[in-house]
Amino acid sequence: MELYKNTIFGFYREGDSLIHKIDPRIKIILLIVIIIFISFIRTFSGIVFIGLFLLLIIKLSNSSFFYILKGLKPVLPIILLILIFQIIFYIGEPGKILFQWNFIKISVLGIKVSCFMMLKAILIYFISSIFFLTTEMISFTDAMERLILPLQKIKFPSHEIVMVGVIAFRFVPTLVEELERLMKAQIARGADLDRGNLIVRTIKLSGLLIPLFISAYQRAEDLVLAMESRCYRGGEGRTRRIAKKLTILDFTSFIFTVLFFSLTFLTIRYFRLL
Amino acid sequence: MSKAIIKVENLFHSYMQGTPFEKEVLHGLSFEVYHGEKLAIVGPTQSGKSTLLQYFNAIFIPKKGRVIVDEQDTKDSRLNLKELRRKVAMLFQHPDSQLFKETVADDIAFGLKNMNFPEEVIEITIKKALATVGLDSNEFFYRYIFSLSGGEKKKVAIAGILALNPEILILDDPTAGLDPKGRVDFLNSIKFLHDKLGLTTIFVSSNMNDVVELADRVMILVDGKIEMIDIPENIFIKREKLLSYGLTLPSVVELVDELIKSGINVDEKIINIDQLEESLIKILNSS
Repeated sequence: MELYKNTIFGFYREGDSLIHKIDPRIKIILLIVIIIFISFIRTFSGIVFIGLFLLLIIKLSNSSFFYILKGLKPVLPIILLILIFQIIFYIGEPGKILFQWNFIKISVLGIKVSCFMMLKAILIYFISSIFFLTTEMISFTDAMERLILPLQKIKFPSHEIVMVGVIAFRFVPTLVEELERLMKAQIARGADLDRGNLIVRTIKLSGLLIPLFISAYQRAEDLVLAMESRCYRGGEGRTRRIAKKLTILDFTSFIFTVLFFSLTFLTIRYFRLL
Repeated sequence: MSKAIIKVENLFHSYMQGTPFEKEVLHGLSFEVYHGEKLAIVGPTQSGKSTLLQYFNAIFIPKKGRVIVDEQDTKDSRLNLKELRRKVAMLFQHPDSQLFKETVADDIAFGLKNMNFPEEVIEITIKKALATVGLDSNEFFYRYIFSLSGGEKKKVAIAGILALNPEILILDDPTAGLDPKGRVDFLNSIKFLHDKLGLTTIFVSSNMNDVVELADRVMILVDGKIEMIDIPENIFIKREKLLSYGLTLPSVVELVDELIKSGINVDEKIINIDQLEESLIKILNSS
């Protein structure tokens, strides 16, 4: 019965590796670039290339492959469910059909495409896990703000949007902690939250939602007061305590990654592997 | 010495097992809690007090070590967890987190319904429980939870667990956040419950004055290890050691030290105000 202290995804891990040192702005751009690349890949050899690249990054960031893999465990049932639905309801050129019953058709192509999608999703999970393991939340949001700051010129409330994001992220662990407290209090008074099948447990969990919402609202109110009493008035005119400058490492890593992916892309295309 | 109701044998606890963040917070604790006693668990923050408490009502099941409550191993798969949790009542640190229904009566009924108490008994039990904690059942029965004060919430939370007729009462820092009057009231009602119902009481406290007033024995838990477990007189005599753990001393003990420093010859073993009063009167009379 421990939720809070066993949550993995999105946890920054302190470190001193190359990946930690790259400027978060560059890291965000690279993350987006890599995710775009991954979604363009259409062959297994492409997956292998990107997989190797990710292993290199994991090595460079001093994280453990198995540790990140473990973070997948809670979402595994959902991934498998999506995979099964995809295979069953695949609509496309119906190559060779293995099994057919009413509207359910299982084709070789369907299986291939679905497995492919799943592998891509896992790759994206890996790269974003590495990103969050090596990037502090605060520098991430700071970088986000700076990246979308130019949009302020067209009256886009970039500071405010980032602030809302920061607060949402910041309060995920707090709410999980709160939920855990509520669950424990109910268990202590004989509720069977930790037993029963999935449906029974879901119904019982719904009894936690109202108290959880109430406490979230109370927290929001406290937060507003705390921010106002420290004279918060939005983004205009705010300066930064630490103004980051890009270093050689940032440029190198940027160029290296973009080159790697472009070359991979071109090689695969050239040899008609794509 | 009466018999042990809780036995803890070589208990270990780690957070985030199997990850790089893994951290051991309890390092092989062994001790016993005797039937009918009031045991205080004291320690600096992060010493593992709250974690330890959650082993007593099987919210945590030991992975390494054993916890035996009323001659039943909590690891035993045949154990009736509901019955155990009825027997071992737990009051959490924040009373608001223990109350989750709209009205006082609904909330107290929550545990009773989970334990399958018959409908006709429930209302009487609720009223009895409210009376035990000193709340008027006519006034409080239909009150909304959010209209209660902090002290009242704590009392309702206690009523909620007392309604289940427990044998062991576990309190996690029960007086935190109460005003001075609320604190005195609360301590008195705990004392009253203990004397009247004979409940074994285990409580964590950061307030040494509570410990002096309530505890029969004190456990000092530092960094997940038991540094001392003894009667209060023997604990508070080791002033330097306590201070070195980052703990404070009870006000009376501080006063005794000041008195000794200014040349008044009181016994340094004195820990509560009645003893001090007595010995001061003696000194005044003899001079």
